[in-house]
Amino acid sequence: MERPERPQLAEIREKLAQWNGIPKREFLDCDTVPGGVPRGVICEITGSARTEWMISLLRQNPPLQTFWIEEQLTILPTAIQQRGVDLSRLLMAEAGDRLFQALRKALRSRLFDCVVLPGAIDEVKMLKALQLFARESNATVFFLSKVSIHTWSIPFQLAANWNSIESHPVKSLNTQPALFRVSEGQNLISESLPTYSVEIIKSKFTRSECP
Amino acid sequence: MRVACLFFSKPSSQSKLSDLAEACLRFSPQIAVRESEAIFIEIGKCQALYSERSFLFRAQVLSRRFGWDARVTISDDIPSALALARHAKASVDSLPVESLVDFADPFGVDPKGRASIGALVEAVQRLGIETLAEFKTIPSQSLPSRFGSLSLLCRQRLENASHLPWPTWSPPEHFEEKCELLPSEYCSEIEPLLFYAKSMLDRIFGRLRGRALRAERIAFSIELEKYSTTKEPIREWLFELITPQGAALGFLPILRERLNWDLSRTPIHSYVHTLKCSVLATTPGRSAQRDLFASHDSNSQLDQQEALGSLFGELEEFLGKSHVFWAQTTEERFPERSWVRASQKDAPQADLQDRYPKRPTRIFKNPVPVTVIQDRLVFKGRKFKSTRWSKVERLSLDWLNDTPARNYYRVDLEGGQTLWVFSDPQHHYFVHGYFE
Repeated sequence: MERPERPQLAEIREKLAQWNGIPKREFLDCDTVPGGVPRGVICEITGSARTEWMISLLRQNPPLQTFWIEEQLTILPTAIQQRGVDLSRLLMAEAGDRLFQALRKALRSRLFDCVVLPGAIDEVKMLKALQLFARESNATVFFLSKVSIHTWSIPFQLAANWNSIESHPVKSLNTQPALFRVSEGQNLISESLPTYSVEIIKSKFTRSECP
Repeated sequence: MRVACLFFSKPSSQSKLSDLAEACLRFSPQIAVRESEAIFIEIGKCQALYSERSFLFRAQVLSRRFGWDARVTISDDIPSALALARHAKASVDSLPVESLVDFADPFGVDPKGRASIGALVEAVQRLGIETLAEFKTIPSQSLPSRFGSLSLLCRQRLENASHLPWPTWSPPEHFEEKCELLPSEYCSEIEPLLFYAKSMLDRIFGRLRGRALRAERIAFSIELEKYSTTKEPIREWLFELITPQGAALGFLPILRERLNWDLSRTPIHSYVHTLKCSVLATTPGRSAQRDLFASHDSNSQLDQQEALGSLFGELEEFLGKSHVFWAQTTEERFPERSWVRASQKDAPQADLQDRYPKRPTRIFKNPVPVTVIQDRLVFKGRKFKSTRWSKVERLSLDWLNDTPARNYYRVDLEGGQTLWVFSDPQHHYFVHGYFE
């Protein structure tokens, strides 16, 4: 007699939640993540193309209200709009050393579906609080970190990296004339950005309808 | 016709009653006030909007918010509603004959007439008539000859008083609330201050809601005990709200942040004896009956907009002005001028589609000098090998502006990173941003 296949831990969790009347977890659509990105959790995005991936996620989910917070603002909003994101859905904040408090206020308001931070929060106590706030408000908190941190409170980790480009011979720039040719700028508009690849490092969630 | 009467057994000041009557405008536009005693609201034409049962609950909650315990009754006309509320009876027939005073002068504007009614009541009581049901048994033809013409007027009003004209009442012109505290309340910290401010704000926003208005500019002040150490006995804060607020819940976090910030720098050294709040500017808000014509979606959209405005104000108080914003793109090509910080969510955006090449996602506030030697870039003390330089994009301003022109390149590095480098006319290279 054939033994039935053992269910995955995520499936058991989903079943238990159903029995206990907990609403089904929602997912954000993303073409690079099969099944989507879970809502109401902390997600950590690493790699050299992490901001590009984040913007592409916002573009694919136009109704999302997003809170983008940084200590010192380095994001260029023009670039976000150029990539097809409606800036009226993006509230930005430059928080300095009051980042966590501002973040907490934003999450408690339950007005946002997405909250984006430039880096990870290392302190475990803060992470726990943030995880609770994220779950309460059903908002996904994205850490755009340089290196990934290993903690149980981050259930979804992903790396987005630029694909290397073939090397082209580089001409000497020091010998260029003082006046440059303006017309060449027009060709750049159609030039696309390099592609990036996405690797899911950790995911504790499954979407039942995903393949 | 259905008339509701909010009756206050303890006499209250006329101005306070007018404040509550103003808040009651949310129920119906037809309101009359009996001096320091009662408020009449015509609710017969609003039966489709709310039930009488829900009105009773809401009216009681509202009057409690203003600090009174009102007795609320609903009847077919003004005098019977007032008499039922005053004598706490279930039907008009069971009312005592003393209630004829309310039938003769329901708005309390004729003191002479009231004295005459007193004599009438005494005469009727001498005959052993105690209730209005018994009074109704006296033939109306005999009333003028036996008790005078007033008795006939009372009888007519008892039978039908719906034709009674409503006196004019206009709401107060200023939105101002004051809260006086006793020295024993020891209010000198932020939490008790906010506690008292909350009830005051509830009242003021209740009045605004009655008029279908929202607050745009609010002044909040405290008066302190005049100790010899108190330098500023009156402290005042002015709030210019980005999104006009229609509820105390939205304004309170903004007030908390401002007081937190200000009182942590200049604490108060004596007890607060008066809190004052006034609305200096208003904008039209949503109508009181929100669900009647608007869809649920548009209602929730309005709610969300107001909540977002409240959060924006709170964060602005917390982080400082212009530290929280919506980005608004401009027609300028220079990256630092290509966008501005806006405090409006739906600020008009420039159309950037195919206007110029893709900008990097991250940008340095101050461009970092970089040394370029053939295919090598020396940047922050580290060497990088470039694999590809894009074509040049030249950015320059008009001749009036003396900003030098810049030639921008997208430089792909070994390992996948891409920098955004520019050179000035003197061939100095700078990294201005990177694609992340």
